[in-house]
Amino acid sequence: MYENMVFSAAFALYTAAILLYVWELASKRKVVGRFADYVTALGWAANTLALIMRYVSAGRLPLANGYEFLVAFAWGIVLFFLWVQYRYRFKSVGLFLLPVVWVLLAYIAVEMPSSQKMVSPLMPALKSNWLSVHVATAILSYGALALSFALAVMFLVKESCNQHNSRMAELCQSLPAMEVLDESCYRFITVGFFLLSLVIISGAIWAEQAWGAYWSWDPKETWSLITWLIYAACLHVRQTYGWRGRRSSVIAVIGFAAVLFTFFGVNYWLAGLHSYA
Amino acid sequence: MSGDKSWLDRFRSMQTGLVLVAAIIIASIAGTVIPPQDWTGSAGTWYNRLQLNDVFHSWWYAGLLTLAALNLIACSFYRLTTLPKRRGEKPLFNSGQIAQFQKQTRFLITGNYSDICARVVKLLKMRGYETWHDSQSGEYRVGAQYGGLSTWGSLITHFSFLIVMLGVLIGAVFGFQGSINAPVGAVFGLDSIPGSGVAPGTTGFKVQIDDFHIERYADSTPSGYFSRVSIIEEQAAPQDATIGVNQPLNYKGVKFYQAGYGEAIEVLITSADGKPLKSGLVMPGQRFAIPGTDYTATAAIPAASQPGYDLGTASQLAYAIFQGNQHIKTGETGFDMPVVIGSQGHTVRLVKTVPYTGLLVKKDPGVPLIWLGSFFLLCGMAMSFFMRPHKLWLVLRADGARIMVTVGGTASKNQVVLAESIEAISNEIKRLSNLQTGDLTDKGVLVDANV
Repeated sequence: MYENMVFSAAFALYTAAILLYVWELASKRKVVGRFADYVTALGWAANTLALIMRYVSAGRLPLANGYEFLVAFAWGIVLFFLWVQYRYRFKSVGLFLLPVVWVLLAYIAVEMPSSQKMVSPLMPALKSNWLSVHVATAILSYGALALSFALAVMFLVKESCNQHNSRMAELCQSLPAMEVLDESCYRFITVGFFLLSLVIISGAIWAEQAWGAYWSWDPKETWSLITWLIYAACLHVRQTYGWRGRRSSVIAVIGFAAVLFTFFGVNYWLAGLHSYA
Repeated sequence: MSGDKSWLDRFRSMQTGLVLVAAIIIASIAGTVIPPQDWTGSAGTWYNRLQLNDVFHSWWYAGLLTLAALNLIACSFYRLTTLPKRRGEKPLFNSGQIAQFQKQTRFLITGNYSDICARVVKLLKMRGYETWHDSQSGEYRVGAQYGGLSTWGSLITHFSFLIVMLGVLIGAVFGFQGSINAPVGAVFGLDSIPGSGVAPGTTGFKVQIDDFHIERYADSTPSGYFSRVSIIEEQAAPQDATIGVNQPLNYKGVKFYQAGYGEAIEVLITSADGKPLKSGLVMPGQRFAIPGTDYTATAAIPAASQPGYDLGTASQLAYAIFQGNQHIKTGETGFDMPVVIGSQGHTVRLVKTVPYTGLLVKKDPGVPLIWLGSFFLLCGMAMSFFMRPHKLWLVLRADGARIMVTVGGTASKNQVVLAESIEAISNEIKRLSNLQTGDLTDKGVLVDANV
């Protein structure tokens, strides 16, 4: 009940932050962007509180079903975002990143049946210390990759504005420099990729313990491998063939699409062992 | 030029590797979305020939993975041969050359020239740089490398895959896997596990199932499945152990996993005059023959399909009778009630149910190598991504009473880190100076000396 209210507060604050970032871009007033950062931070505080409340009512880390993972996923994305804002203060990243968070939470609010949101006891296969390691690294990894996605989209938007010399070009000027976008996107891919490797390895260790095989070509496993290979290819072509800028950004977008499919698509379209989240 | 390349050069190239990775991605997507189905006609031939019902265990997918592995091996060893050469290079540049760098800055400081030179090198060392320097035509030239070990990161990452692959191979060659549904009370050796391929009489120990039970939460959903077993070995006291989900039993390199459970049905078959002909446990749905007739039968526990069914709570059992392949009769019966089959008056009694535990039994000596490889993979990645490798080149030149400092740098991966490092080092050098007189890159604007 209270948890629901806190969840709604987080959702409302993130929504308000998005609108403020739009206003910042339109009005070019720095102070608006600053305010938006604070609203986002407040939303993140509510998001954190929702997780803590779930932790208290479930008596375990809130990482065990689709609802809990999504709330934590949103939390992880905003965590990276706030760190970036604190450290570098990139303009307008929030405008591109928070909609991802918004869609995740809107999905919970609108689409998810309430039976899936309830606190449920852990099924035996999930009763393992590896649950926290595996899911916590997944949240951080997805957070970093979501940020790389937002930066890549910003790069592509800015590039197309510059090319077409449209009315948008003026708006796009206030986005961070293209080199900065490209470079930061790459850095977050390396962070997300490293963590994704950790997710896959911890999953393999756990699977070896729970299912008796470190790898069984389960759809979830396979899609995490596909995602991993896409990012691995992205890093290699960047390093060896100097694919930067647009090409690299396009791969980052495809990579994040694979991340989302690994999480949502596999659950909704492909059956497998990993059916809880 | 490309005509000069040997097939090995071409095979170990990044291009080949990327093509293989792309092929694996596409094949994997196909493998997860193509539903297993029965095709007919020529489509069916192709479907079966390409093993599309199970792409991940098909010959061509294995081939792709093997090619990718070979590409990785070839490329890793090639890199190993080129690395020492690259690491030996320690170039130095003069101020004019550094001015051509994309990332560079230049400023004036005051102080004792030789003293400042020494302190700059010391400063770089303190910040974790490896340095080298010389003096040439009035310029003190310094080279500094940060995160030099990072060059090894990529190599370690790639070699870690070789360790993982070795683990997979060892598992495939020396390991086995099988599964068994063992009723409570049963004793089995590894040689009796279907699919294990263990030769009879070579197992050394036997496993006895003492108990199977389900633990439940307050809302009756299962919280755990547990098998209590004893390990029986000649010339040793039996050892007790519990196998649960997420708690496999590891005994002498053989792992036992809790994989399933159910109830077997004890069947007693008697002839018309009451003489027992046969008795034993059958699994639900398993056909058993009625001796001396052409009849067969199956038994099942109807209640077991109900949600919330608990072991041992069934009150009715079901059976089906067949003559040859023809289905004769289906019915329900209580425990230990005679069911008459055929004209000769044989009876079948479903005496009781006995819980069984489904165990996955596995030996995989390659697993430690998989974890070792994974560990190196993470180390290699961390080195390659997070050591922030870059090189700085500094030149100090006495300029009247002042010293002109030029700082430039290069980085293969991380330009933002490079820019930050140049700025940080420049600021520290300015702090070395007694009085900061101005920053030339700042278009001659004097910067407040109050640092």
